[in-house]
Amino acid sequence: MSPVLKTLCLGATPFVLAGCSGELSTLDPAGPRAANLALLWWVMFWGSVVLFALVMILFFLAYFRSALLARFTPAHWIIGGGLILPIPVLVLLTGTALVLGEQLLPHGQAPLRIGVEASRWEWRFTYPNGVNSAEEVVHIPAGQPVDFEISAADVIHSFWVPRLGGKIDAVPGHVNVIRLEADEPGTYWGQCAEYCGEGHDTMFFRVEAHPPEVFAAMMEDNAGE
Amino acid sequence: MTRQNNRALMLLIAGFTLWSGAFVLLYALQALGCAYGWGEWHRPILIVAYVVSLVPLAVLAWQRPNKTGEPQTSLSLSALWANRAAFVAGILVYLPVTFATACI
Repeated sequence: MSPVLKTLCLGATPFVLAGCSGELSTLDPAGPRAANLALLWWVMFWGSVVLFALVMILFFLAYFRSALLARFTPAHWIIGGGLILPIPVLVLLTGTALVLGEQLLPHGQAPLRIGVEASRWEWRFTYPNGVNSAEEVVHIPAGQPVDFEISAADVIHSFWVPRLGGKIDAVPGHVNVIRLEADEPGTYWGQCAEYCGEGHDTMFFRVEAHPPEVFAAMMEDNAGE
Repeated sequence: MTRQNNRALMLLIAGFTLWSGAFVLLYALQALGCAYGWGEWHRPILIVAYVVSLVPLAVLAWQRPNKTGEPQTSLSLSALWANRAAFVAGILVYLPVTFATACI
């Protein structure tokens, strides 16, 4: 590798690692549902690291210690590498995804339901008391699950608050429900995750999580915003 | 192509063709059940469809591609194991319709 290329690669590493945290990082979860998704990501990541290492070790042995592998026939490789190795790995990964995925679903009624309507290129939130939020900010109580009932006015958008949970499509004429929860009071950024036109890249919104008593007082004051 | 090879070739593609058909059927039943609100009937219907889907796959998995007296060819052997793989894949991949949440 040339010194210039090496310097570039080493120099770029911090920028790549910077993706592991920040306002829109799924690897910096701030709630139980986002934590499930981050855990699934880590399970997949470490699973792939182990498999990659295993294949590289076999590759190394094939080159430098070929006598060690000479006892295995082609049938051993096909059955072992093609069936015995991938089946438990896939069953384990699928099982993990199913169990963690089930826990994301909005079973039963959450205490609070907030309406969301996406349109080019803004978000409109409606609280149970009928008040609409302005300036694309939505307030929620921290430590409590909140259901967002999501729809769209024009084209398909996607509602995504990476630090609180998964994303879900906002489809015209259809209501999708996603349950999110923030562990602590704070500000969590969200964005449209489905390309929806020229204003897509600025279609952000903010979730402000407050202590439950503060949130209750805001609702009583009719302060949707 | 001999008649034996024709038969083996048909059997080779039969398993996973049925598998994909059953996949679409189960997907459709899950979506229709939610859209039309089948309620407590939804899960039993999915389970029955799961079991019924596996029947032809099981028959194929046990079907010898070569008739008695015919020699085994690489094509007939491939057909046999492809159909067995389709059957096992069916059991595993469709299994979540028997317990996973169908509608939100």
